[in-house]
This record gives sequence, structure tokens and C-alpha cells, in this order.
Amino acid sequence: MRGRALRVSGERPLRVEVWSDVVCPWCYIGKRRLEKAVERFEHAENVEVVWRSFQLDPSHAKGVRMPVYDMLAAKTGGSAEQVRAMTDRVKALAADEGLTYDFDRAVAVNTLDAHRVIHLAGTLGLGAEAHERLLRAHLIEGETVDDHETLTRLATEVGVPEDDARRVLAGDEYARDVEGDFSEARALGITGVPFFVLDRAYGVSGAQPVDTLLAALTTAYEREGTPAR
Amino acid sequence: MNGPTSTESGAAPQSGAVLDVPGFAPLAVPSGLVILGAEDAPVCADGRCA
Repeated sequence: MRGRALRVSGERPLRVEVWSDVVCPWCYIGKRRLEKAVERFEHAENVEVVWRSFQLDPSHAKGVRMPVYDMLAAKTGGSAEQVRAMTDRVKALAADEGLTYDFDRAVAVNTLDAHRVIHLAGTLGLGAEAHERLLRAHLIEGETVDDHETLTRLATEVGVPEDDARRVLAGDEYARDVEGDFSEARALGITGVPFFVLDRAYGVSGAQPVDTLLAALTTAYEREGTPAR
Repeated sequence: MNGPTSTESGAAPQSGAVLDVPGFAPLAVPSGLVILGAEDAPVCADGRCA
């Protein structure tokens, strides 16, 4: 999915902002469904998708890594069987979208550094690619997405210069941008992800069906007036 | 929460209005966004995923 809009003369752009975390299983499913909706959208060439940072658990201690199943059991107070039942459902729906989640290998981490790298990639027009790569790394490949060497490797895979990735990870660049995205989410009333905001006029919450997202694109596009920026 | 609908005029609905869009259940408008789609679509929130 393109990160920049290509506008046909006489037609207007449609901006879709997606608040998402790289450790969010519903976000990856929502991403695939949005991609399918855009493919079917009559004005697909006018759509610009922008990925926004949303840490599901900003209180997760930095540097602490734990198996996702253990983390979910601790968060929900559920048994191992209950946690597996919950994740089995999302795994099945992900498989319908061609995504093979592996929660046995997934590692729960603080995602601030991952989002900072995505913002760096965004300055290079690679934000969507970086978000996709990190979702895949966490949910499918069992990568540890707070490890700086891992993040550097994944960033370079999508085209971010290695030196830039290392520089950002060594400091605190883009931390304010990540916080800014989170603050905007709160201002918009967003408490869960994925959340899709269309032209700052319409909101769609959750991993909705493709048809719903397509209808939302159509509704937003046909709305009169200048799109909000 | 009731208020003027806007599908005919095309004007952006005011916060607090109920928007009647074919194919969507009318939903109230929080924080300026018109919310489309099902209310109970799965999300991840507070570190947990529904």
C-alpha cells in the first residue's frame, strides 16, 4: 500500500490514518483488510495511508521480555487454557488473511523503540513498510522487537540506512513523535487499536470486515468539503 | 443522543449528532469524529486483545 497519494487531476485525496501497535494481532488483520478495501476502492489512487503510533502498554518496563502467553495470563488473570483459547480465535482469523501467527514464539516487549524506528522510516517514505515488517517480525517470526540489533536489521531490510537506525536507537529521537501520536489518539477518543481515521472526519474502530472498510472509504470520499489536514 | 442528520445536506455533522448513513447503524459522534461500522469489532486495548 502506497504511503504517498497520487492524485488524478480533478479528484481529491483521501487520507486514512491508522493507529496501530506492532504487537497488536488485530492491527495486522485490520491492515490486511484495509489493503483489500483500498484495492477494491474506485479511487484507490487517491488514498494516502499514514501509520500512527499507539503503544498498547506503555507501562511495560523497558528491557523486560516475556513470552506473550505469560504476559496475557498475567494481564487477564486467566488460565493457560483460557489464554490459548483467546489467541486461537485471533490466529484463525489471521489465517483467513494469510497471516500465520506464532504466539508460542512471540515475545512481549515495550514497543517505544520500535515506533521510533517506524517514525524514522516514515521520514524516508518507508513508514508503511517498516510497520508491516515489524508486525510480521513480532507476530509471525518470534523476533524481539525491542532489541536494537534486531530493530536495526529489520529497518535496513525495508530500506532505512543502517547508520540512521543505529543513531536513532542510541538516542531518543522521535520519542516525542510517538508520544504525539498517542496524545492525538486520546484527543480523538481512541482507546483501542486498530483505529482508522478518514480525513479527520470519520472513525472506524477495530478489525472491521473488508466491506465495512470499503463503505467507509466511499462515505469519506463522497463527503463534501475540503478534507481536514 | 439526537440531532440533525446530515446525509442530504452533505455538511459535516456536529459533535453529538446522529448520522444516518445507508449501510451503517446510526451512531453518536464523540470528539468530532463520525464513527462508522460495528461497535463491537475486535480491538486490542489496555495491553489486551478482545
